[in-house]
Amino acid sequence: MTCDVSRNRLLALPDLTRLTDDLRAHLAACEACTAWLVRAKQLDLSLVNLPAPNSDDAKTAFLESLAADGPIIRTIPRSDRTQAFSFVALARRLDWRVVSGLAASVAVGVGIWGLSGPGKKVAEVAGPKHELLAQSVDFVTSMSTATNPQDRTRLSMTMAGDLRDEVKELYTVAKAEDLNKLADLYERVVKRGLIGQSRELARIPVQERHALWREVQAHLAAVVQDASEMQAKAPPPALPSLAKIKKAALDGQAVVNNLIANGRG
Amino acid sequence: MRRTLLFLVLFACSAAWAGAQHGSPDAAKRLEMLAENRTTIEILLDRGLDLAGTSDYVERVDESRKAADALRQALADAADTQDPDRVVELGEHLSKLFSDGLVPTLNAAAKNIPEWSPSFDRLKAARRQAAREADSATALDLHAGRLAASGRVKDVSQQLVEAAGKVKAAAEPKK
Repeated sequence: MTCDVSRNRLLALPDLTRLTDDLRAHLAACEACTAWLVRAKQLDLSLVNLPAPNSDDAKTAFLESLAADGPIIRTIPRSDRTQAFSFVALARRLDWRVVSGLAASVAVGVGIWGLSGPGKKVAEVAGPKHELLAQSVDFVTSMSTATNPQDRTRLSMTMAGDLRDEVKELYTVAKAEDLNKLADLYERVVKRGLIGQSRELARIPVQERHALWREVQAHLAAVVQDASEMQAKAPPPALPSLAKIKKAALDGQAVVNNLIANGRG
Repeated sequence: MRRTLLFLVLFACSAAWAGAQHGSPDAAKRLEMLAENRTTIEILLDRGLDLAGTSDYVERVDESRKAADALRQALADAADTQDPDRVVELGEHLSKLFSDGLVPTLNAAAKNIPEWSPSFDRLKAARRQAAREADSATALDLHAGRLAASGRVKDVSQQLVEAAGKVKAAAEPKK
């Protein structure tokens, strides 16, 4: 411990007669600090013994000034009017978009709270529905009441179109097995529905049957084109299914072309 | 101004996204649904093609009934797996097929096959079978477990009871 540290520590002590062990050890070995301590003790004693000045007159004067007549508040503090609170000023300073946004949020919150309060049912949300399943139900339901080859041809054409659309949506991502099933169903609808019913059209008036055959022909031509475009972009596992669809459409086209040309397929 | 435009664009995008959630399912969901419904779709299309290929009234009742039965079986599976969305979807389809498919074929057969016709016995058998299957559809437990909590399932169940009632009425012998 240096002498400076030792003296600072001595000054910090509340009572110079009660030294700590480390200070005592330093003082035992340091004559200068021992002499400094003796002087410090003398100074403490001198301060204690100093006479205090008489303050009686000053106290009396202070108490008389407090009890004297006259207003207690002698000066009115000035306030800056521009800093005073004012609703008008606040309203002018607010951004109306923030206020309207907050109001809207509160309204939505209150609405949700009101709708979902106790005793009120939370609205059920319907899940996604399978379009192709719905189209198949429509197909069989409509076929139950379709009694002529015109209606049956049109229904078959719609179903074939729905299957083609499903293939177009899924051919890049579907498993080969699923795609093959769709191709198989398309082939069946073309052979048994579209072509089968197109043959039945031979019994109806010429103009009507030719108009319908041309519709069938256009559908099949579009499918051939779609299948070719899909084949150009499809992953290899999808190719056999697309080829099957294309072949079904081409075979159908050949029959319909014959029907248009000769009245027989 | 720019902030307002940005807000509107963000709102439009979120609305479009939210709408897309239930409008058109994404490819993964469509594939899942295709795998789930493949067999039912195949039966429905085959029955539809058979209907297109026959003018025999009893056969038409039978084809329509078989198509409805394929949906009934799919509905029973959906009820077993406690899938409310699927129960609602299949229940609606079955109700439609009962009311707009099977009932008209039963009515057409009743109208066109007189009691003295050799086809009448076949019609009686087809009617009995149709009534039995309508009863099986209404006997499906659509009120158990998770399904009980769905108001939509409750509605479709009621719809199904009404449609099955129409089938039974149409399958009754006419006087």
